[in-house]
Amino acid sequence: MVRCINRELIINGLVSLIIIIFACLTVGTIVVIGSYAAHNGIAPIIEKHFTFHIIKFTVLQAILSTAIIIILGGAIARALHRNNHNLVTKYILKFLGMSFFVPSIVSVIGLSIMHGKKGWVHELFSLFGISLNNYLYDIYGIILGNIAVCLPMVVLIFYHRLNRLNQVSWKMATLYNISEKNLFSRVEMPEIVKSVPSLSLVVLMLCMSNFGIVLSLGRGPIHTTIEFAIYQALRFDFNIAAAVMFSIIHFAIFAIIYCYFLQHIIKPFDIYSSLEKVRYAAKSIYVRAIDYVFIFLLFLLFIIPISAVILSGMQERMILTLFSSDFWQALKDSFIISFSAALLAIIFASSILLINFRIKRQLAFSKKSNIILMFTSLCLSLTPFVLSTGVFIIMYRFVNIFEFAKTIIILINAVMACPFVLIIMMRSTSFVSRQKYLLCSNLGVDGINFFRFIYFRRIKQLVGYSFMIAFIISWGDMSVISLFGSKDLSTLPYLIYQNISHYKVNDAAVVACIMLLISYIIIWVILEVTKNEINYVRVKQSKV
Amino acid sequence: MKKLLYAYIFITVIFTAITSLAIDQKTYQKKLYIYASNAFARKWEDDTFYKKLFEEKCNCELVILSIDNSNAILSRLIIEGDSSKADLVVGIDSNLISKAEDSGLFVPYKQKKYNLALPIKWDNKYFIPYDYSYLSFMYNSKILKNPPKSFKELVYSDEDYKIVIQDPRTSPIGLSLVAWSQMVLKNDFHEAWKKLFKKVVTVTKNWNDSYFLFLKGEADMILTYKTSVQYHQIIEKNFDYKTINFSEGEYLILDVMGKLKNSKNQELADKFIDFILSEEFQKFIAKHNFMYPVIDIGNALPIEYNGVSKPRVVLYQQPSTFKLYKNLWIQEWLDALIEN
Repeated sequence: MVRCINRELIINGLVSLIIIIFACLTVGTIVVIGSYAAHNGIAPIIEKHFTFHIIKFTVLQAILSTAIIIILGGAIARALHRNNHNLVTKYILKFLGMSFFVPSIVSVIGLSIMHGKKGWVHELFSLFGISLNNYLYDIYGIILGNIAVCLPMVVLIFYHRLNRLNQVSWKMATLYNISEKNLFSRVEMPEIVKSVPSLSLVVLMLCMSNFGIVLSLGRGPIHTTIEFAIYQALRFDFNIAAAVMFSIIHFAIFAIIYCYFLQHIIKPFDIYSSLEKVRYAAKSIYVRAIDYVFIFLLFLLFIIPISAVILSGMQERMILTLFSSDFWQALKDSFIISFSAALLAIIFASSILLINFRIKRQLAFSKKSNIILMFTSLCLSLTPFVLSTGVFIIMYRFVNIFEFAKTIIILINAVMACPFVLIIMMRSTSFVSRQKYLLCSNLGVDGINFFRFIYFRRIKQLVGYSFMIAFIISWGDMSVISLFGSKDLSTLPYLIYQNISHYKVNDAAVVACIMLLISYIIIWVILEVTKNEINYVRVKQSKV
Repeated sequence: MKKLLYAYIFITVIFTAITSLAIDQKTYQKKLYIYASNAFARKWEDDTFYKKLFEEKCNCELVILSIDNSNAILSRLIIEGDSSKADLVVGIDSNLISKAEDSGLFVPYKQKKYNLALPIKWDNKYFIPYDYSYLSFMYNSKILKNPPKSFKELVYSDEDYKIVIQDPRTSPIGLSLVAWSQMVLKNDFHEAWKKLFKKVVTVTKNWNDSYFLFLKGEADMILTYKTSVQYHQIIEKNFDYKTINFSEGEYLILDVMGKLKNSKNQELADKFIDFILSEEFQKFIAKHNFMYPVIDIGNALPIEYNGVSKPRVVLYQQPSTFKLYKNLWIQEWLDALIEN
């Protein structure tokens, strides 16, 4: 009994400590920024006209990109689902699954190879005597970059949503000879729309935080986003007042957007591929053509740019790069930072889930308690630069921030990955029902035994997937490292950007290729290791 | 499958252990920490001859930390404050001298007769230049056949020039362009920039990004140092690139260095300044940094420099003027950009 109480106390203590650290990083940042602003004022350092321009540009490019991504993603997912028996579709889906979070800097290189002035698209049009404008380093380039980063995630989620439809639905559709238009409006559209609010929110947040894309493809000050303005204020001017002003604006915008979406509570995304459904209806040539157009668009917007990176990287310089000390230093730092951040994100998320579970238990599993929602929304509204501003304010007067750069980067990356980990791991709360939990308690299976033998077996795949997502987010992060990066501390994305800056374009392509291949290997290994032998997700077996 | 994972982890650990092995090198008791701009630091990484030469001369280890540019260097020094390890800073742009002086982090260098051969009189006691050049627009003479002959022609001409420039808020060259255009355009600054922005392909964060875009053929002209052509002529033996001699005159850019107040190696820092301003190293700057040396090296100046004529009129804004008007100029520039 005493041993149980001690164990319980230790676990409670640890969880509380983790929650306190997390709260200091999130809520603490807001408090620190707010108190700095209250104490020193936020007199606009930059002219108001330009500040409004920054805000307008940030929001408009994000809304435009989100609208395009959601519409295109839905159409492409539908086209893929209509051809789901096709081998090509299966490989496309596998490729999209592996490229869930492509680092933005890798997309930029791929887009440059494809759409740059001497890129493939320009050369193709020049064969027909058509000279295109330099559209890449403009709003079009930024939108293309946003699409390249977010499209795989959106397509996959819409596809799995469509795949959840009962096999009977498709049989009935064929039986009653429902037209494509009615099938779309009465069957497919209602199902897709269920994911639209939460997915739009995530895509909007990602497009507003697209620092790497804007840094590389923006046409200078006219394409400044709020994050970029904070970066400039901290890195080049060390203008804390300006950084605080923009952080508050950024946080306020996110808060407003989130409140708007509040009625559509963030639902966990479906990551399981249930059994592929068979769509019996024969397709007309018109329908086939539409499908092929959308699948071609997927190739054009995502698959070809990523393939371009791999093809450009596979050159003789790869051997030289593999023996370069800069590369190995960056690889080592990338691994340490990504691994630590992913682990920390899982720890944060698990602690939040545990607290949520305990609160729910106290409230007799009432649905009123949802602190997960609260933490998710808080994390999504805090971008890396807002967090960095808070860290700078707290620390710069007392310590040399650059000596703790690695720790700060790990902490910030962990907080950034936390909402995605929470969204995925939220599902785990439904894996063990209240009855099962009470049964286990009655049988004396509690604490570590409950976790090890009952709970973890069911959530292993979720944990693996969450770790993978958190790792990949941190692996491709360009935001925080751009504030602290130097010769002594460099990650692979930073090395790619440095190579581009020193016009070592070939080296940049090689590093991007290696980075992409390593991320694919890591994804494959994690998914293989954490694959469940038994699928604990309830899948309605289709009766053929 | 678990064996595969263990093998993978084992291989990763081995590789990271290998990269962590210290390289066997001579160790010195004293270390001289230098914060340098990328342009300066890159030369010391590519060619360690001068690094080893100085280390043997001063019996100390030279540690050079490469930071983007002057703005980033100054920001870092302000953030680090008294706990900064830096003894000396190399690569501050002359436009940022007033900001650097106001930080209170620098001490006067040891006054000596260096016989500087500069186009202007130099009397700043905190900072001393180690190279200089002029601001200009570079183009490929095989692609652009009729470049503009003056700044005003570049702005007001109906020719569809495509130029790439740098952001004055993040790039010292961009800031110099704003100062240069202010001196040339005077009251027409706002309207002229609204016209000029129509010809701008992109405004990059720094000079390196612009150069990359220009070499990839994204623009006809790039804002750069007048002596950038020397790189292509000396290293690539490519004489296609040329710079434009604007009739209004060209803006002088100096790279300066300064000692830090909190440095515990003041004497070593003085020795490094002497080393940089020595004739031998100034020849290296002319040949490998592609900037004009600040002392007269006579016939040692590469012959390719003869092909680049020095400006008839040298334009330069004093640091005190910069301190007063920099923010105003940048705001006007941003206004013109948004209204474009």
